[in-house]
Amino acid sequence: MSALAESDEFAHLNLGRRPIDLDSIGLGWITDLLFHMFIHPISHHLFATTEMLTNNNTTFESQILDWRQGYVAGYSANPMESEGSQRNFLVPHTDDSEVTLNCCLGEETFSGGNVEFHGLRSTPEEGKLIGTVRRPNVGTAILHSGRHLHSVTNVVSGDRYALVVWSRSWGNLRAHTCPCCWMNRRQDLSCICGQRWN
Amino acid sequence: MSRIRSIICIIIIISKSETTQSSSSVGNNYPSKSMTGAGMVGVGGGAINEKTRYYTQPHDSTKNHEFGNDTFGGWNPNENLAHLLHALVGLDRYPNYLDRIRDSSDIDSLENALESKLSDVRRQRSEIIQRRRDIYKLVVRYTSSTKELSDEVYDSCQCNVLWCDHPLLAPPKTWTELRHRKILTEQAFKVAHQSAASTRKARNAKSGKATEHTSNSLGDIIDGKAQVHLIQSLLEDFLCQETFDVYSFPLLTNEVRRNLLLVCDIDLHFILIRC
Repeated sequence: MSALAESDEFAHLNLGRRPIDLDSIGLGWITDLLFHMFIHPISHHLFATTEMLTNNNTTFESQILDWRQGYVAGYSANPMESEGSQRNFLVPHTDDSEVTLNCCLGEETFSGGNVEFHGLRSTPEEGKLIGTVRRPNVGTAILHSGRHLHSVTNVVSGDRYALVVWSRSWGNLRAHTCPCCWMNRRQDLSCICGQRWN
Repeated sequence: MSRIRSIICIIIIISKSETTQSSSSVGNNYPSKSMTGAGMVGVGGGAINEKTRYYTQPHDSTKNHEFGNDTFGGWNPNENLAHLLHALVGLDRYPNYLDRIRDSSDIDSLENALESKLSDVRRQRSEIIQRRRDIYKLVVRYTSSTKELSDEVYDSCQCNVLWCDHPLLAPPKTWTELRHRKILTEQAFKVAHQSAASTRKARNAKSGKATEHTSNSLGDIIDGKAQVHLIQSLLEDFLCQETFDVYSFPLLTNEVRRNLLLVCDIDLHFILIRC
């Protein structure tokens, strides 16, 4: 079947070297199931306040996250040789999401590829390695704020795959927060996109 | 063919390795990495949304500014994202915002910048539509769908209908099927199922109508038509705090991971593994 994707007819899709979200290939139900069943309800408990997903009118019935995207990312000890994984590691970064789910797929046949966390944006911990370096157990999902700096260490051997789901709050948080205030998790109400100015 | 692509990728990556930098990485503490060894340079050195940055010296607007002439000396919305954002806010906030600009070339700059962005949107949209059409053809070929697809379905390029009968990747229709197929771990299934049932009972009790249609059907939950409120007491045993503000929980079973990747390695390798 891989020969099908590599055939001249479909080679231009470059499927092995470029992320593709599950919706594009018709498997968006996986993302939907994880989002509606776990990400959104758990976020109500854990991230609603810290990530400013609520306002005075928010109840437990409210849709604090209203957008999701799921994709599979790969890391390999030999990314140029591997047909499936385009990276070996990932530098510290934040995601374009309010909440991120990261579930390790495959078998425990790889080493390295730990997920490290380096503090939330605009907190004193930003940039510092905090907590314990996390060795991802396959099948276990990690849930964190998208604006929590994180990285993936070098995959030393084998291939590591992760199902990643980004979730956003367009109707609430991003409707009254400009990208700059959003990125820096500004907790005050002074954003010019906020209600105070509109 | 794939070998040639790999070589081209190496050349491109080498040429970008000096300038590629994460747009959302922490600058001071984490200099950009490049990996060396065995012919690999700069692989994986950026963040997910990598943007090559070519830093230039900031424009010295004092050289062009003439007092009393109201020219936008350093104005360049094509080059400076901030200028574009300032303009958008100004247009939103002030009537006749552009009236202060006497030099029509500055208005032209703004118009060009906006049209450039619009052009980007249209170009990407067109590329995405074509790409999704091609992926759709690929998935049709793979699933060897013998369904008689209507023109409407085919034109919509909705791949999801192609998986309806797939033994492993069809969406489950009921909670029983979800459990039987062992997609979720027992713990994850229990938390979700019990919570869904509890939510329905609570809603029915609140409404006072035993027969009120408050669905906890799996299909409605997947479609987002029914909300799930996870029971807090179940979450306490389910969630583990790994570090500050990072939590983990068992989600996917060995079976589904193994079967998915087995199928993927043999059959779907080009989709899930190679995504």
